[in-house]
Parts: sequence; structure tokens; C-alpha cells
Amino acid sequence: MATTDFVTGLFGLAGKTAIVTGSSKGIGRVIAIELAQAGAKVVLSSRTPGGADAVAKEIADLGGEAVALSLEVRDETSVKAFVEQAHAALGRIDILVNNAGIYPAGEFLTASTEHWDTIHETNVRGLFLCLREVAARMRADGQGGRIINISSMGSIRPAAPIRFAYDASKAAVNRMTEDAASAFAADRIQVNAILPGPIDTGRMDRNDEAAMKMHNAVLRRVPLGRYGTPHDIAAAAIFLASPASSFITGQTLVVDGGFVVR
Amino acid sequence: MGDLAGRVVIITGARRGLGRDFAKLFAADGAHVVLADIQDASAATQAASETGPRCIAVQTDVTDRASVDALMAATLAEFGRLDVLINNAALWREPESYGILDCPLDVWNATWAVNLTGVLNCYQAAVPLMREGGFGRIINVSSTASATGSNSYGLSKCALELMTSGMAREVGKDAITVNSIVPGICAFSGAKGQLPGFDQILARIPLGRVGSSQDLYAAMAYLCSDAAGWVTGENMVLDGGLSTR
Repeated sequence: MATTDFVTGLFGLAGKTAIVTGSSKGIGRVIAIELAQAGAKVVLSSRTPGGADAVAKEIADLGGEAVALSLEVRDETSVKAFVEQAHAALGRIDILVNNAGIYPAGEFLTASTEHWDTIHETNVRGLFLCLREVAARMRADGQGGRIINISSMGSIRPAAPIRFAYDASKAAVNRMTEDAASAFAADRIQVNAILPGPIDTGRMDRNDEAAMKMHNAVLRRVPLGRYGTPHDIAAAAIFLASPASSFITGQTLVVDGGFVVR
Repeated sequence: MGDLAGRVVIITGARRGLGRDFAKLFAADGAHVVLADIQDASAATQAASETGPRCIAVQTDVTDRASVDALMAATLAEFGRLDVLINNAALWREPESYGILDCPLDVWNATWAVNLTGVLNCYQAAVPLMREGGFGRIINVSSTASATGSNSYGLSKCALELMTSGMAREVGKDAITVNSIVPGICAFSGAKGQLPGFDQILARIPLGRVGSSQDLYAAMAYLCSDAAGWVTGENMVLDGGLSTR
């Protein structure tokens, strides 16, 4: 991946340790794999026990190191136990990628209270619990750290009204990112967010006519003319986890092919 | 990621300060750098060439389209293509020394001529070369002064960030990305003297230090990489968290 020692020093993560929540599939899986390829030892998480075992094996087969644990971010006891186990497995936590999140759709007038609560319990409360528990460990260990929150471009520009609850949850994540950056800067813990645009995780049914119509409509709005890939997001995560970004904190990095440009 | 070896990079305002440091850092990473400056940049070019591959100096007035066209022609003649344009040249000290009420019209006009028309000229002249090469990265060097409307410098940087968005939208179809870096308080290597009230400023930066040329370079190295091929129209703030306070 890198050509010179200089570049390896800039973006390399050798000797670093990382947690990626929600890493059994999709974007989280690719972030975990690429952090491992950059040199980090990684703890994976999934809601179902054993759910991330296959990804851990994938990383091991690539010559990396990974441990799969289970985590329900909505459950405080689970978060505490998870961070305890992750810290024990890694010895120290250098990087936390708060990726676990849910994305259900709902119309304003028919969405249930439960719809709203479930999204916020996972995307906001769950992220807060992980951030709190890991930042406390980072502070106690005194080695600084990087926290990367996976938000969404929907947090700053309306893309689809049926995601209103999701978009609101991600706007909360952005604000929490800024406040956490300010709160933990003295501990050399940097906190930033990545705002992905439309990502093709390869799960779309190409025979679904309505879905394809939506897909093409979105495509026309992306100046770079393509959907993003999980790799685009993983690259941004490596940048924000690496020495290359050591003066950046409290920022939201939009990775969207130009979708939100004014 | 961050692979700049063999890339051809134009940096405007590269004779001194941050631009000079950027040239050395890009060259150290294996890029051919064209150092464009209104004055003779041969000393900075010599320094950059010592760390990496061949670099050249081209004396350029960015406010003059003919001069910018000559810069592109010299780049093509020497290296055969253009991959990266760093719009770094800017008037800074004098525009920041006046508010709006007291700003002499010649300072006001000169600020817009260099900081915006200069970028316009370089952008218009560079895009055809990048289209030809099938790869392009344009980075505009803004400033956190863009967040305040206190003087012509900050106003020009505010316009530059919005211009970045417009450029990104316009040339996305050519797989050219356009982004800004937005430095907060940063020092280039060998910077002399200190800002008045430096200690109070330092105390307000959450990460407890000013930025370095290396910090800014690292962000540019990411934005120039293949790995950042889907990042465009972004204004990346590098300020040690100052704007979160």
C-alpha cells in the first residue's frame, strides 16, 4: 500500500490497537479489515455472539490480528463488559470506531414512538455509552487516543425524508463529536466523525425496479458519478486514526463524492 | 494510500513560508514539484530537489492568465502532465492589518485579485491538463479566518471555500476532486517571531499546540491519494480543535 517509510509513518498503524463496533458486515467489516491491514490489532463486535467470527478469520488469513466479541450497544451492562474484555485483549485502546448503527425508514405521520426510540437508543445512546467507557480507559491509560464516529451525510443535508429519525440521530452524533473533542483534547484524545454519502455495500437487488430507479436518481446527484464503497470510508477512518491527522479534532469529514456540495 | 511517487504537483506561492515547506514534503514523498511564485523560487526549488526527484521553479503571476498559461506550458514541457494543483499563493499580512472600514481600495482589490482571481486562473488553466491525464486533485489553501468577516483576507477565504464547492460539482464528472484545507493557527518551519498574545492563543487551542507544515501536508497527502478518490467539495479544518470551543 505504501511506497516509502515517510508514507508508512504518515498513515501506518503498526503497534496500534482498535475497536470497531458493528463490524460483522458492511462498512464496519471493511473498516476493521483495512485497519488491520494498516497494522492495528482489532477487536470486532456483533450483536449476536459469534457474528463477527468470520471477519476475525478473514483478518487472520490476511496476516492480521483480530478478536471477535459480542456487544449490544443499547445495554449498558453489555457495553461495560465489552470494553472490559476488549481492553484486556488489546492491553490498551488506541482507536475506537463507533460504527454500530441502524437505518430503518419511517414516514413522519405513521412512524411509531418505538421507531424513534429504537434508532436513538442505538445510534445516540449506544454511541454515547461506547464513547464514555472507552474514553475513560484512554484517559486512565494516559496514551491519548482516536475516536471516530460514523455519522451520515443525512445529518447535514436532507436526502430522504423517510430517514428523518435516522438523520436526527446522526445530527446528534455530530454535535456530540464536537463536544467530546473539546472535553478530551487535554488527554490527547481526538474525536472526529465521518459522514458517508450513498454507499454501495453490494446488498442491493439489481432486479428490483423501484430500487434501481432510486439508485440511478441518487447517482445523478453525485458529482463524481459513482456510489461510494466501504473502502472509501475505511480510507477516511485510517486517515483519522493515523499520525497524518494529529492536528484534527472535532471535525466532520464528509466522504460523499460531492453529494452535499452547495 | 498517500502514494505520491511520480506525481506532478504545482504549488503556487512556493518560494517561502508554508508553500516552501509543502514543496519539500511533496518532493520527499517522491513527487515532482513545480514551484510557482511571483518572485524567483530557485532557492526553495533547490531545497526541494535535494529531498527527492527533480523539481523546477517557474516565476508566475497568478493574477495574470498569460503568466499562468506559461506555467502550465512549462510544466507540460518538463514533466508531460499535471496531477495535482495546490492553490497556496495568497495575500495575507496586509489585508489582515485592516478592518473593513479602513481597508484601502488597492489592498482590497489586490486581495481579491491574488486570493480568488489567482485561483480562478490556475483552476481554468489546470483542468484541461488534468482531463487529459485522467487524474486530478486540486487543493485550495483556505484559513479559519474564513469564519469571520473581519477583513478582506477572511472574506476572500470564505469565498474560496464556497468556490471549492462549485468547482467540485463542476469537474466531478472528470474524476477531478477539489477540496480545501482550512488551517487554524499554524507555523511554517523557521518562522520568525511570535504573534502578539501567543500564550493566550495557545491556551485556547484544545490540543495545546499550533499546527505545523507537516500537519497540513499530511491532510493534503490523504486528499491527493487514490484512497480519497470519493472525497470532494470538502473544507477540511485543521485547527487543533479551536473551532469547537
